[in-house]
Amino acid sequence: MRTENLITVNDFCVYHNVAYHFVDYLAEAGLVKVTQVNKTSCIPVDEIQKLERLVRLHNDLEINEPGVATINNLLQRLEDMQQEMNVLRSRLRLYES
Amino acid sequence: MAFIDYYKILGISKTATDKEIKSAYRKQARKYHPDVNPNDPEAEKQFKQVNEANEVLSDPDKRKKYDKYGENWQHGEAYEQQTRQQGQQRSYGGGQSQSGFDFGGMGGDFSDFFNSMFGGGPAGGNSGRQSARYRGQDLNATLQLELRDTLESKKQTITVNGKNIRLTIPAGIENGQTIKITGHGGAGSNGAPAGDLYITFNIPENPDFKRVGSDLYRTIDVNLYTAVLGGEITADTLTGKVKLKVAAGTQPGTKVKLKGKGAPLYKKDGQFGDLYLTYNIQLPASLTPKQKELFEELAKS
Repeated sequence: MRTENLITVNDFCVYHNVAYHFVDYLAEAGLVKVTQVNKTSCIPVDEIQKLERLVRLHNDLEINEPGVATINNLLQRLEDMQQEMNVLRSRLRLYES
Repeated sequence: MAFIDYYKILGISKTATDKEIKSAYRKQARKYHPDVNPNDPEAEKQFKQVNEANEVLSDPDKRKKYDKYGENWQHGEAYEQQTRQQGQQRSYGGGQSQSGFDFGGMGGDFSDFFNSMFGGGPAGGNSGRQSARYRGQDLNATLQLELRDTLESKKQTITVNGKNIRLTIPAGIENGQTIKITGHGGAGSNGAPAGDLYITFNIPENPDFKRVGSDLYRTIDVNLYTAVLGGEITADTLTGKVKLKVAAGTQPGTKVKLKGKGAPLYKKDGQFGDLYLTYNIQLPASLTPKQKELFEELAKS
């Protein structure tokens, strides 16, 4: 299996100074994908950006794991709503001239 | 350069204790953190100010210096002007911009005020809030397009930080939509992956066609006689003119759908939305005596 697009959970945790448990929790909650290569847990590069956002919430704002998961859900809803609002806005423009 | 009141930014008094500063900082950080305020430049600006205030007030040395200068800021500035006249040069970090692209990362650049008082960016590794990233920084750019530019997928080369990037803009891209160019952001540290480049498309409203998703809407004038008696009109679409039959007795505000004459569907090759035309029946504004007579005759009939 190719490993160049993977970062070990260990490396990630050391770099960001987060507990292994943090990534474990988020993976179990289905928020990030973690794959196993030769019995080592790895994070696909595509997932890093999302994970780093969650780490920043955890580190910068001292939010615990369940809090991070909840905020993540709310942010997703916020994004969906913003998208819906954009559609509604363009629809509204039809009636304004 | 204006004096910045760090106490005011954190909403605390000048006699605030370390604990009060910390708690005020946390409160403001929770409110303005960029990760909980996605795509909100105003919040990002506030967050930077809050960080800067915390950087100064949470550090006893910096706070002492700030308090001393703060009371007598005018003198501090006069002093600075003097030193500048003596030929000392200071370089201020300017924003990057290039050929119409606006870049905005989440970098922790501090104000000129901060830099002039404390000399350069945050000292040492004490600035944990500008958290180090494993992965390179993401870059944002905006690109302006016209509605007509979105009809077909286009290959385009843009220059970002001196590097040419070839990208394909898929047909049917919408105003405000963002595409990701993987690996073209800032370099990662220690062999970590580079960040991504995000390009947000700005497509100004077309004066003729209003767009909702892949459907287009347009109002078209039809004269009274064609509407009453029926006939043929020519309508403009995005891709050319089409002839339309107008039924006799067409009412004002009638809508017709021209299937497949809308905007292309995003990432669905060969599929198009529809064009909706709304008929605006034009009534004659002034009548000749003869026409008036004829209308009077009609009214009696």
